Amino acid sequence: MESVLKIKDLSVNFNSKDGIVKAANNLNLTIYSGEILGLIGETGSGKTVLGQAIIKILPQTARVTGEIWYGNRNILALGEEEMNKIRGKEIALIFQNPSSSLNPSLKIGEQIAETVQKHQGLNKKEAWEKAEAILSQVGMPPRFAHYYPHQYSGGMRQRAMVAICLACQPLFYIADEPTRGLDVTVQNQIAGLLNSIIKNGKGQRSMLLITHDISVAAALTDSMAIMYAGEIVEYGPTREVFKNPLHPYSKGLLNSHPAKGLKPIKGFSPSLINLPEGCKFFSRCSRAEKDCQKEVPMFGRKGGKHIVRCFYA
Amino acid sequence: MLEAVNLSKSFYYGLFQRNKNDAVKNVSFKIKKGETLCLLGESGCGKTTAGMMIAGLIKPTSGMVLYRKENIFKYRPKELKKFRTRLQIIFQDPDTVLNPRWIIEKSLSEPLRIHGLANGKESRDRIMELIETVGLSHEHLNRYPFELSGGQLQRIILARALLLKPDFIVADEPTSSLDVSVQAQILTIFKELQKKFQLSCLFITHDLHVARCIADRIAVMYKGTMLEEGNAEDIFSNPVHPYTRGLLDSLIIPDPEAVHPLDSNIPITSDRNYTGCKYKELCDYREQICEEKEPVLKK
Amino acid sequence: MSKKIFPKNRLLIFGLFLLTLLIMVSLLASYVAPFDPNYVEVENRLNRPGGKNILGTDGYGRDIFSRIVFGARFSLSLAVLVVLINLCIGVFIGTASGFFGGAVDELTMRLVDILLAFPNIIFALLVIGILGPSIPNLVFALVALGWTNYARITRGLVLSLKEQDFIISIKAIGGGDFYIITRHVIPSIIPFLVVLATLNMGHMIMSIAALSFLGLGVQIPTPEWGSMLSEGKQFIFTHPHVIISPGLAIIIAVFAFNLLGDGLRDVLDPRTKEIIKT
Repeated sequence: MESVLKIKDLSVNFNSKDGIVKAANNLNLTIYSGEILGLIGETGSGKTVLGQAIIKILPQTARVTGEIWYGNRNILALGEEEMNKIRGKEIALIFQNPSSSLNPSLKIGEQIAETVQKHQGLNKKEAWEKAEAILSQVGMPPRFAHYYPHQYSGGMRQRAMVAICLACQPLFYIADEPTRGLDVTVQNQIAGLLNSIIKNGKGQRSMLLITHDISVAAALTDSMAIMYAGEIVEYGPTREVFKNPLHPYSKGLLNSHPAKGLKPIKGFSPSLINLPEGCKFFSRCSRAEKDCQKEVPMFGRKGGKHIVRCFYA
Repeated sequence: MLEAVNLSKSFYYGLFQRNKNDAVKNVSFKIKKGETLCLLGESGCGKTTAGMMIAGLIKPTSGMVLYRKENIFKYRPKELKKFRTRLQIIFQDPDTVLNPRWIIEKSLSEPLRIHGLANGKESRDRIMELIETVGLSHEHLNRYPFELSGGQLQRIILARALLLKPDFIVADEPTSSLDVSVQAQILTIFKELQKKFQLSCLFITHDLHVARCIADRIAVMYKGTMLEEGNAEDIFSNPVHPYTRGLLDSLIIPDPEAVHPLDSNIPITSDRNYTGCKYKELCDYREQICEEKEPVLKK
Repeated sequence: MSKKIFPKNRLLIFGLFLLTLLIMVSLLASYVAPFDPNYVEVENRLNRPGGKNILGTDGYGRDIFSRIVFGARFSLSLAVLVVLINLCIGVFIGTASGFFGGAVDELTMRLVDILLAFPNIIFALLVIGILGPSIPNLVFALVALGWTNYARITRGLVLSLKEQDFIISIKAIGGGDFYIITRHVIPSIIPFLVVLATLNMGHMIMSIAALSFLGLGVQIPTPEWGSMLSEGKQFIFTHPHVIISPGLAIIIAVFAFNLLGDGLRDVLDPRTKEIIKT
């Protein structure tokens, strides 16, 4: 398989008045074409920061080191002008909160048509027709193009968001918590929609799905990376990770799910300002030994593509 | 223990208050001592409004709430204040429930001050005991709410709710804003405490996974009406109402091996008031009678 | 936290400094002023600034500097008095109507709407015109309309506050309305009110001076900035110093309060900006 995006030694720090916030540390990740990669983590694990780093929309205070290779271009070395050509056109971002990313004073159809016009050079009428066609692609009847965002429900707004992203036919999608805060049935619909977009892409489209919801990850992703306290602790094909989670945190996370036993992990996630030396999960881990506290474990390969950052896994 | 009888709440809006919206319509249920009833439904189905009425914070348009056989909306002020010690409510978003300008300790001891039960050491001991029960320590007491995480705040709120030794808790989506692992912690503590203090509970949630592991009985709500009520086991193994069935079918389970019923079609419903069954627009079993009459709950 | 922010806010510090100076001067007026402000010395009338009388003398030969120093007392304390009364009435009415709503709310807010339709100074003119010029009537005239703004803003703040979970949760614990208002609602809106009152101070100083200038406020020969302007207006072309000094005093005082208000607004809560627009 061909790789679409290669992240190498990516670190993101923020300066705050209380100290340096280490939001992401030495991340390495490859996304292959045609796949949905799940980036699983909880609040404060740095997963959103990774998504923002890829399309360079981090706040000004962020300091980013490392490389992000998109094809043969290093995104981190690109200027703002070149980046604007990539954003939306080649890499699309589907936000968690669609109501704040849609313009409340424009009809949905106009918002899609505007993007189409800008990127594909069509005239107004053609763009509107295209917008209606895109809306039906995301499962909405064309008459919905005449509605304003406030006339949409939460799930429909998320669809509209996806429709705007689809307008330029990008090949790489970043979806940041696309199902958070939606009802069960609507979650199911949005998950289905995202799935069909990637699977109908003839192996050309791929997606980084950032989520905290392991059910959605189980249903959609081909492979997954689990993040904890700014580090990736485990990576592998989704089926293998679920069947045989290796990192103690991954095990804990999976077992926390109400449908998998509701067994909580003790303790709290560390603050990203005062990260401990060594393994970040040390204080909450039942398998930890002395040396875990001294150095950060390197990734160990556990058959095939399944890798884990733990001495004792 | 607690009984809701034909609870209804309508909101009026628009020019001259001409438009009427039935947020809750004819909802009835009973909760026994030590039992958890889960009010399950999607956003906007009226479950929160129902919870607020049970807690006596919103007056129903019609119907009543009986606590130990007494109508709570007929209480005199003194009785109402007493009732407020017996029933506690836990809100969805822990970040907003504590006064942001107060340290945790001040917020925690507030119920005792309000009811004139705070006398120095005794109240402090009770707070310390509870704060340890919910897995925190005294060092959290001197912090401000913004310095704690959502999970920690929800523990504080749990501790505060239990301070007055209530026997009934209304929990309105207490974990929906939390991460999975934190949710597991809070729900586990909640279940333990419920057992320890023999608490009855109205647990409001949209999450079927959560409902399944916390509920004794489940009531399914849709557009303000109750569609189905029964033992949690029965509802999950043998759902009767088409809506409940659809809900269970659309549930995504955390297992990549399972067949996921992903369905990207969009159901379109109208928000207007109409006659007949609330679910008829999406129902596969729709017949003429569904258009004409609103079905009533039957055994 | 606020300690760190304060030194950065130079305007706030400067406003605070000016204000402290003004307050000190007005409190210690009898020590600061070199002469009796009301001592008439006709042979020394209309002296130019400099020499024995730092800012010169006025048409009756009274020392202008001493009169300004004593005038600060009147102008400031009157403004403070009016603002405090406005604040108390406004907060009381605003909280009551915001918190309890219903018919009381409807009634008071319609009253506020009607009162707000009058231009401030013209309404005050009307009141004093009917009641006759005196200091109590001046205060009454400024309070009659002044409280409405506080009531309106307080009501808005209380309305948004009362829907917040932490207020509802205290209700659910059993806290009564009085308890919630005094312990939670009012403390939460105090920062906004402090800013509003400070910014309003400048406005009040101007209004009082304006009314005194028209002869409807503090009466001559009492030293007050507005009445000093009024007395001096006949010399505006021949001896402008008589009018420039009290004019500057008004400007400086207003400036000081506005600086302080703006500074406080930024320090206390950035959100305040959207609510209080002056």
